[in-house]
Amino acid sequence: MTRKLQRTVRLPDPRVVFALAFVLSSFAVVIRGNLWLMIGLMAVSLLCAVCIGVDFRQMWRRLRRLLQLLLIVSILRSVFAPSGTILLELWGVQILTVGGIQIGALVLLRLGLFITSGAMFTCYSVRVLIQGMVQIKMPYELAYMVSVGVRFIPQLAEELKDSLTALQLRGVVIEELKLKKKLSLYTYLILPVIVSSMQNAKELAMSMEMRAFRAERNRTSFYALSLKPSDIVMLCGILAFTILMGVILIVGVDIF
Amino acid sequence: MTAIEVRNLSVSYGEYSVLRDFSLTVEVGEAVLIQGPSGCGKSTLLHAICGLIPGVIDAECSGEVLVFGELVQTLSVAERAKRLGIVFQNPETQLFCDSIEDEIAFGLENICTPRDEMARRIDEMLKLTDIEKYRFASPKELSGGQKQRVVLAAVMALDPKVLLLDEALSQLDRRGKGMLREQFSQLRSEGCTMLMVDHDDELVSIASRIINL
Ligand SMILES: Nc1ncnc2c1ncn2[C@@H]1O[C@H](COP(=O)(O)OP(=O)(O)OP(=O)(O)O)[C@@H](O)[C@H]1O
Ligand SMILES: [Mg+2]
Repeated sequence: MTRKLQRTVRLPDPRVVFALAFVLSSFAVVIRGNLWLMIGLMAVSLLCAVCIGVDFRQMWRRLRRLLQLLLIVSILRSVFAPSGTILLELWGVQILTVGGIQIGALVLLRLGLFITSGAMFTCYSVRVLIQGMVQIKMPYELAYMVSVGVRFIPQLAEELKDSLTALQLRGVVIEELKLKKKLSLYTYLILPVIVSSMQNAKELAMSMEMRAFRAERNRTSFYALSLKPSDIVMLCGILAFTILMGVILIVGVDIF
Repeated sequence: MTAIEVRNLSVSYGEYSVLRDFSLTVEVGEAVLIQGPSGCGKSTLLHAICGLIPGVIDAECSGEVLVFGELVQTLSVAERAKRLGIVFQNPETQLFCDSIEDEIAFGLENICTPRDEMARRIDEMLKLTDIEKYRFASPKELSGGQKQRVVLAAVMALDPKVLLLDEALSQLDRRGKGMLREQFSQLRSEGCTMLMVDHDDELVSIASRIINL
């Protein structure tokens, strides 16, 4: 009796997404200087993300901040390592050059690729991801550690927000505080929040241990993921894509 | 036969001493209710019985705890989980899965229960604690009382020989308490040993002995 996970009927197997994210982010690291190839890679990854069903409005909100970064990196590059046609020059200093923009764009695309690869996982429940990790032979302890760790961060943010609200309810108007006061306020808040999260983490660990976590070397699983034919087709597609990209990179086929 | 034997247990957190030379013997099949004012060390006692003090919890401790004749500290995780099931006081920090079903499955998966057996156990526990409706809900979406039911289900699924309950019903409504009390007395009649901490007198009727700390 193999039970399928409820919420993931229409999504590809998480292992397909692991493979995809791995390939995309590896190429993001490997590609240097070839802007067009990077743009192509970004297009492919966006397409994949759309197909999986990533929420793009949310993504865009995050990516927007990166665009400012693009400008900063481009300017820094243009000023300190000018190359290519000069687009803007002030007092004899090259502020913006084509070469600078190219480098800036490369950096941005690299970050964008990491973000889209990561965003694909947000479509899956943690349980499905753990199961995927376990079924690619990752030790289950590690898989659980990752998942509990991932939950830890939003929990910290949540508690910090609660503490701030509590302060506001007691009449502290945070917006009106001077920057220095505000900063010291945050430092006072962060420590107790971290301490209480550590306490929670400890209680969680006790509960897991008393429910026999790590009792045996192996563990069975109520759920099992199984590759559908469509998943296998996708895996083959990813493999073909990897080979194609590899050939382009090694042989240096100048398609553009 | 003796299920739990606590011998001359003293626990102190730094300077602050909580239990002093405390001894307790619980026979198999007994249901002992532990009462006492806040801060008198009821939770501490249960932690010590589970072997979490000393070790996991930072506290000095002397004396010994025997579970079915063996020192609790020498038991492996698996052996301990088969003998002792504990519902801790705070339901918030005992749930970490995506769904109630996962939560109940977690312990069963750890002890390598076969899949059909697991399915059967999960169904049974969901029914027993009356949370069948929430099977696929996330624990985060539940109320305090519902969370307590889930924790109970997850712990009872492992079918421990001794059940330790630290105010496990505190946030439940009257009907829920009544229902679970029935379940507990059913468990008792099946030979399960129970050690309960509770403020209310809800569980007095199923207790075979009451201890005031
Ligand atoms: N981890 C800890 N570190 C330091 N002191 C602790 C710790 N845990 C408990 N204490 C202290 O030990 C005393 C007993 O705590 P315990 O939780 O056992 O009480 P309790 O009887 O369960 O109370 P309640 O009915 O409120 O749950 C309390 O005064 C508490 O402050
Ligand atoms: Mg307590």
